[in-house]
Amino acid sequence: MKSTQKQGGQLPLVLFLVFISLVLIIVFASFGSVKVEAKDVFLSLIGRQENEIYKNLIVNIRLPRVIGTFLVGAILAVSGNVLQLLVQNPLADPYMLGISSGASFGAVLYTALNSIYGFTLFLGLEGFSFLFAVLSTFIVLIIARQGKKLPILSLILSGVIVSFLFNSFTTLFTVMYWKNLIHVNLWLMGSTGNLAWSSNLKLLIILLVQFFIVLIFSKELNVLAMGEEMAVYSGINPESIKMLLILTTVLSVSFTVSQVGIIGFVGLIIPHIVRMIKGPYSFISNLYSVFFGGIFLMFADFLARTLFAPTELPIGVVTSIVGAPIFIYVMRRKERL
Amino acid sequence: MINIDKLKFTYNNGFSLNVDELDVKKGDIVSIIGPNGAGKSTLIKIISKILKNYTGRIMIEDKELSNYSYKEISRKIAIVPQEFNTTFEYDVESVISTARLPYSRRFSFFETQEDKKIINEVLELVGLVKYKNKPFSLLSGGEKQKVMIARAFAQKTPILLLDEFSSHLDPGYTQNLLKLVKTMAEKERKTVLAIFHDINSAALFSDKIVVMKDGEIKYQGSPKEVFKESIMKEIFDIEVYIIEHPLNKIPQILYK
Ligand SMILES: Nc1ncnc2c1ncn2[C@@H]1O[C@H](COP(=O)(O)OP(=O)(O)OP(=O)(O)O)[C@@H](O)[C@H]1O
Ligand SMILES: [Mg+2]
Repeated sequence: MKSTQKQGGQLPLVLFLVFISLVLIIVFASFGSVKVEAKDVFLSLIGRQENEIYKNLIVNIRLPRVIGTFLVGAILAVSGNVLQLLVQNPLADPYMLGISSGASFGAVLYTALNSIYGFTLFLGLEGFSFLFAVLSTFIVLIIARQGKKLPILSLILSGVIVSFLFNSFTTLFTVMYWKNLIHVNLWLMGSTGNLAWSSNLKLLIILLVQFFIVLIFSKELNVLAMGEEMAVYSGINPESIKMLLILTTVLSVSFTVSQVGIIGFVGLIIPHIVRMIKGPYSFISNLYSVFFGGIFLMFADFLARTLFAPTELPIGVVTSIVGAPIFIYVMRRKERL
Repeated sequence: MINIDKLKFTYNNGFSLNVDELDVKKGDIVSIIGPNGAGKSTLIKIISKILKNYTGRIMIEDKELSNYSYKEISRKIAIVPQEFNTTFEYDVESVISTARLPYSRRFSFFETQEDKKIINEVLELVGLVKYKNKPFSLLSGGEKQKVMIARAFAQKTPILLLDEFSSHLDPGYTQNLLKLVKTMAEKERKTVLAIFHDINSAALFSDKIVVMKDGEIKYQGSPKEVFKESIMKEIFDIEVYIIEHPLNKIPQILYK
């Protein structure tokens, strides 16, 4: 690998990926219950669409969904990459810190309170799942903390334990009130169908902030990925940087989950594939995770919408069906991490 | 340069290190020898700020170790650890470039020209130029050690801490790198504290030898002072015969 590949010299390829992403956004936006020509999507995009129905369909329904899906995929992939580098474990994923179990519990709890006891809580389903995702992660971090340190192994273990705990409560609620909770289960398996421009704006801001922080600390993240002792040898306080990067990741993923439910495998597999192609160098692998994650999830969403149309599959099911074989393949040639 | 006074450190599982006094002057080359589990690496880890809950005093250039920030200490001390590997496929160049982080500024995302020059120089020194863009994790044990030595050089610090830096090297390279480190140290008046298992190398390498066992310093002095049959018997439980090196008059050990 030439050293330029670790640093500069990325511009042509990145521009190419930007271009491909834009083309794919237009292509995927043209599919759905009503097929729209890519040309019409493009015309709507630049504000030249005269057919009001098309315009409404594309600008208010299709585009926000496709673009939002890209953003979600990008956030999940970058988060996965940061966490894998940080805990030096290529099998880590953004949900390992208890985010998904916390979010599920929050969603189920809200639905139970709302539909059974008739409370209408001002935070809504999204707010509840976000809060509980953050809460469960904080519990994980508190349990894992030893003195001022946050050892990786205890982080992984407490993640597993807290996830079990929250999942049991979720199951308990589901068993007790199962009739009312079926739609929550569907929501939990993920869907980007409800994404609107307003949430896309928030997702975009989150992605930009996250990417900016990762960019500023890219050297530190590289050193941490070589081990905490290496960080100390290189004059870096491993604990504070680890904490900052974990917090950024947790907040980003929790918000994303609250918007679209739990979409697995993107944060696990995409970073893997990116590092196989581009190496682990943090700036590069995060940059490419944005595009690979976004494109992968747009594709998964496309399959979810069209495979059994007019029925829509939960996108989490598609990513798992596509992702699991890739994951097994990658694991089996694990000499290359 | 390094002055240790009544240092005490205990691991959770009970091993405790007690160093009453250890003084390493500027430009000194000091070796630590002692059996497995004596606490040699522990001492190095304390001085490099990896282990922190110690009591007593450790002065590095007239300032207490705990008053140094990580960044400050990394400009004073470079370390070659006993074991090091990477999970991910970082190449040799990026492993070495971490040694330049103590001097990097925030918002400088890539290596400077000076960093690149230094990285090439140190690779040249250990003879690994053509390995520059190979994945570190795929190198042999000895090659990894050479990279870590190069990395420590690239950090440009007045103090070097070496934990068995020659344990995986073949005889030719052991001699080669011992000489290299010694010449570098003498030329730049670096202070070196090095752990050895090869007692004879320790004698050839250093001005002063520290003998550790059970978490304590049992003896310290010039090679002549500590190379005694009785001491070797007490510390390592080995039968040895001590002779003088015919060329440089340094004591050497023959195993009986
Ligand atoms: N992280 C740790 N936690 C608890 N005990 C430890 C830890 N690291 C080392 N020890 C114990 O401390 C003692 C000293 O270990 P240390 O690594 O300092 O020995 P050493 O002199 O470097 O030995 P060697 O020559 O084998 O490298 C050993 O008994 C070891 O089991
Ligand atoms: Mg040791």
